[in-house]
Amino acid sequence: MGRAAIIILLGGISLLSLLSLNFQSKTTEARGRAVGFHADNQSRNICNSMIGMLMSKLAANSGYRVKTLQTKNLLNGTAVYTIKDALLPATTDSVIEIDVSGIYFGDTTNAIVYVSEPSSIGFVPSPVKAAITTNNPVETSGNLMVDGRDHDISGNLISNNGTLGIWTTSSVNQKGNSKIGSTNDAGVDFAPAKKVSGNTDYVLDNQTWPGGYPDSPDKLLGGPSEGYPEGTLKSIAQSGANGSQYVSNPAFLSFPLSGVTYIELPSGDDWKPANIQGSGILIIHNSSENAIIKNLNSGTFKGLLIADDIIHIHTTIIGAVVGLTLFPSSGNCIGNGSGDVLFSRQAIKDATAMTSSGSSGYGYARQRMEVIHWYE
Amino acid sequence: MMIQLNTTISSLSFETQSSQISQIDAIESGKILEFDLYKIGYKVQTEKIKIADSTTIKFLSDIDNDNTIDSIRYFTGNKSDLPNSPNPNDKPVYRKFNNNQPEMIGAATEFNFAYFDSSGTQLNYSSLSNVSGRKKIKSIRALIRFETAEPHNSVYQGVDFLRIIRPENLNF
Repeated sequence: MGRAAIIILLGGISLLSLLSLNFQSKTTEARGRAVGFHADNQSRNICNSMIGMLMSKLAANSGYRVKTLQTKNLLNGTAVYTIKDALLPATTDSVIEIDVSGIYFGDTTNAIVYVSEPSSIGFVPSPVKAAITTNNPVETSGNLMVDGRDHDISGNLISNNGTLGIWTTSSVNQKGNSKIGSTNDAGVDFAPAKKVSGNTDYVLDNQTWPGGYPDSPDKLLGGPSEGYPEGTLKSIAQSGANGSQYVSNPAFLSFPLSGVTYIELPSGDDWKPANIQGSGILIIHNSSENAIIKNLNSGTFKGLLIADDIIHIHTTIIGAVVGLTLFPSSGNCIGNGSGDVLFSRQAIKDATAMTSSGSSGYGYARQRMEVIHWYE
Repeated sequence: MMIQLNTTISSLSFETQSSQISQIDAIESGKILEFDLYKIGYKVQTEKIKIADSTTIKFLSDIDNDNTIDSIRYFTGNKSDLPNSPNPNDKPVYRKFNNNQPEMIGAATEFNFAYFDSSGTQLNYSSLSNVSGRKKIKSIRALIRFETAEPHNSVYQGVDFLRIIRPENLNF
């Protein structure tokens, strides 16, 4: 009897052990499936979040490309991505292709998104009539180059799409080795050259402005009728949208500049020397129209620079420059060293797009991308 | 006591095994469905969803990204198509790709779609009988219930696959 009981007991224990192992195995498999399901969701989250981030970046800077695979740690996983120019499959339409893989715990979600540039959102304000537009006499000297031909966001030439080199309500005095280039009304490009003052293919001087030259940045962008009542740009700058900043002392600026950077200097004050590294709309203005930016010695700026009084551009500006004051403080000399002002429609559009009052499309930024196809 | 223990363990083992089979069915079928639904409308310039009712969805997409628009349809068959399943509620779930023969992706006791507009409001099935109604679809809820073929203690072990999918190509 005792022996039989031991056998039954041992048999029971063996059976229990086997079943327990079986349970454990099934539980482990079920847990594995749950983890796999979670990983699947999480890799998709990583992938889609990265696409959103990239589209926002692309919306803020249409020239943004990532031609070799880049990796970013995101949501406890990894995103691998590229952004490149492409043709929409089976068409000849130029688009931007965003390829992203979201990787989490061994699970990968891939997506390809085709987007088009938000060119319809940004605009070139009509008062921007040249690479440099002013309400006062302009003197160029040294090695300053003012090129009204169109350029892309990187400063590469785009043929037959530009504007004048300089437009002013007063005079143009071209001195030294300074050069001016342009695209005339007929769309013909003129390479930068010396001694072109008075040549209407390059510059227009002593012009009149119907209704009076704009005396504020908001009026320059079109004023109330175009959605820019007085104070709009200052308000955007104060909101911090897209990295916008509002300061009365340039020492408090953060770099690179982006969005709308509004520097409201006390009457007659200047910002010198000025590092203008960044993009967007850079405004140096006060209600007396005598805020000065002087000795722009460092940093490349891409976008629209609007200042009451601009003196000595010694760096590169891709976009356009507009001077507001009728009475410049320092001999009208807009540049006397080595500086480049390269007109760029795209840079101006990118800058003004950030100020438009919202738009549809994808991305988190004020300016958004138009998605054409999304393969996930 | 040993006999009762053995019976209990066997019973639990059966339940676990059955539940596991349902889980695997749910995940595999769900993955196939998800894979397709996320791609609804990819590269399609015209009508993206052709049929949208409670148990059937038919849509267009370049599902394999080869620049050819494909047609995909999900629907359920009849109980009679599953003569070997003792579960009286089991129905086959089919996926039909272009003009190919429908392929069975699983057997479910419930297979249901619901459709939502951009504000997340569920759309009436009756409104989805025309193109303009279907154009309002921005997200789709898929519910699939998988049950074991054999009951245990008169209960069919089940697993639900419930997913709200927002196909990107319906949203721009």
